[in-house]
Amino acid sequence: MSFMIIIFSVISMSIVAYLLGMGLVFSSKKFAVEKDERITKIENVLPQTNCGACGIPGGCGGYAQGIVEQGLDINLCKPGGESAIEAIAKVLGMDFNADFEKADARVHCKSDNSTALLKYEYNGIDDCIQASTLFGGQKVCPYACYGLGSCIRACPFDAITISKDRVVRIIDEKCTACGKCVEICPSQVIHLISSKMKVYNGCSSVDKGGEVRKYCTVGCIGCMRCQKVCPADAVHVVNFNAVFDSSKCINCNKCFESCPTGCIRSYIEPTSLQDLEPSEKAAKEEEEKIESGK
Amino acid sequence: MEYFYLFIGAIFVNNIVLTKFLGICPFIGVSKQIDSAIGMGFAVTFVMTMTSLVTYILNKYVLVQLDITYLRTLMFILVIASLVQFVEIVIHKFSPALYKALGIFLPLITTNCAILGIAQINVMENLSFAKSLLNGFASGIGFTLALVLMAGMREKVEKSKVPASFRGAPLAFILAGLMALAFQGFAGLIPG
Repeated sequence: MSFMIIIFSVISMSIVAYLLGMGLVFSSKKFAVEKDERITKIENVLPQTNCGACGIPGGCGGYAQGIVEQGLDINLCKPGGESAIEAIAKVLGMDFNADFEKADARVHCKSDNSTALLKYEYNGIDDCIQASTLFGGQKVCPYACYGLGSCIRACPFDAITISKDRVVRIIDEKCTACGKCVEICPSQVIHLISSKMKVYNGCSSVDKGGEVRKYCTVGCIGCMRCQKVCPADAVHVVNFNAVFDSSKCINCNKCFESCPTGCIRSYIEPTSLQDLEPSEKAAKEEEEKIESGK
Repeated sequence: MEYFYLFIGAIFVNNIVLTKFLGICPFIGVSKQIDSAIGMGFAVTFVMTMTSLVTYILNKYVLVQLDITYLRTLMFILVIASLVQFVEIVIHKFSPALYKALGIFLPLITTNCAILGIAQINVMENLSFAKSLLNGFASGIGFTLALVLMAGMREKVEKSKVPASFRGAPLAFILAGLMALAFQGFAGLIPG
């Protein structure tokens, strides 16, 4: 008898499910919403990460719909880059003129808990926003990276690493400039800058040099040495902070070599790990470890 | 008269949201604007009525006949899920604005316990075919009523001055509690 129950259960469930399924198939055919086929095509060439970098709600599908129905610009997808623009232009039959410059997110702080002066010892959860509510983080410097990795968790592309002493570094190859980290960072040390420029100032402090020296050993003191040494006139010290001009920078790496505090961060491929200073080196080693682990 | 009592009872006395505390999720989630509350209410009413109809037939002629009543929940959920899908397709076709306003709450009717609750209550209380149908429909109306009343209050409250700590969800919960309390006043309405 129990065997019969199993048979009955299976058969009756199957029949009911089949009838309901057929009903749904029929109704979806009958009430099908006509969708512009270009939307589907554009959706297919978008990266499908639904990162929201374009600023359109509804992910890649929403953006595709927006392009077709509202005539949005086709160069809003940062992760897709030039290839996506080209593909979208092809679908729409437009002339392809990419007004797009690849950018990368860069962390404008390289202090860790040993190089920066601390106000107190933070023992809370690993969350920068949480830390920022406690007297603006544990570092005295008001412009510092909290080093708790909220950006790492926000990054949809796994493009952010953190070294053992908690210096955050962005992996160029993986970064798509979607801007999630920029949005989430409570101390606003992450900015999007042109990926052509491989050297930049790893300090956002606009305090006077003496002040900076009090609370950080790797801060920008506005000594103007980088400005003097730069052959391309790409560095200017404004408000005691070296500002780099991406359109002029030739990536000669001279500023990085001359910087007395070592606040300038360089993404130029070093010949060996010795060329990097300790914190950078640790990050690099970690990177390699992660990559070899995969 | 019996049917009239059942109808009124399901709306006021045994209101599905405010007395039985089923379907709280959309009650709080979709009660920000009256328009979307009405849309949601009718979607739920439709699904509830249809579910009452289909589950009554399935229960009587399949589950009880074959002595496999242990499949009741599974089969009811199957019916509810399909009906919700159907409603979603229809709303998407005929009212894209409502489809957008309801958003995720539309497919979530599937997991609205009020609907499974009504189907189960119909079976547990041994209601006849007509009564099941009426109970499903009236409960849906009751749900709509609670949702629309709540939305009306929340729209008013939105614009009034409220202490910061009460703004948003806390006030909505307090309002819901007060409303449930008020609905207790209907308790003696139905004789027996």
